[in-house]
Amino acid sequence: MEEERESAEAVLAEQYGLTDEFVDAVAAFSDALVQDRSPDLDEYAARFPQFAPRLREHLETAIWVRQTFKAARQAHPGAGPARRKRR
Amino acid sequence: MTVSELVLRIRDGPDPDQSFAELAGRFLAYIRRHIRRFVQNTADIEDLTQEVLIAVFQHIREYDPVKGTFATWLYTIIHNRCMSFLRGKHREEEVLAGYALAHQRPTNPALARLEDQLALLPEQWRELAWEHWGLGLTVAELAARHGLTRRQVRYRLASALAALRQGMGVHRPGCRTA
Repeated sequence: MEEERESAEAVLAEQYGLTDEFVDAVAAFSDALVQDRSPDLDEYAARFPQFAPRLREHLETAIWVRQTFKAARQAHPGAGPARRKRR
Repeated sequence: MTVSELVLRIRDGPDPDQSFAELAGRFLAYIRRHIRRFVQNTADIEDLTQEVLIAVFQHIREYDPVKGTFATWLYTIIHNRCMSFLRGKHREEEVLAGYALAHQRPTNPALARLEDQLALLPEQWRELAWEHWGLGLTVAELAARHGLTRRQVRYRLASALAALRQGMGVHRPGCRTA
């Protein structure tokens, strides 16, 4: 099972040209984003010039997805996610 | 026999199980009464009572009578277990409600477009995307929830972003996190 999962990661990496360092950079920014720590896109992207401009594109997409989902939650204040409080 | 004597017997006596059974018997009503302040479901009360008793047995050596009564120490365990239970239950309900919300056809055009693209992704990617960017679960929390490694979650999220960008084929100017 674990091998299957790892091979799935290998397929994804091949398909989208991802590397460990790249996905780590995306995830670190995205974690800060979803925790509402307002990471600075320009400053963060500048830290990884080797990934320009693809990293920036990924981060912009992450911001857009986050904003879209947040707007959806705000539009439905009675729904569970809108009442969520962080631990 | 006093509570302190029972505690000593559980720690170092010849028959700790028997001593613990006696201690548990004395405090069973106390435990249930306090748990009932947090939860009302009978099955949950019983589950939590068992959890509290197990925790008491496992941590009995940490009880220090100098710092307070046994009842106070026990109440701390009850409180922590109940809060932990409620947080877990709340999160489950949030995920279910949020996932249902995400599956309604949205009136927001941006969300509708996003969902059209998400629909093309494998189901687990969609779940991860919603739980991460919608509910705010971190990579570590997603890994624990789905039984994946953090590396696997990072790859799936980055792949989801790549697929979304590819599907939309657009650049989104002016995106800022503030």
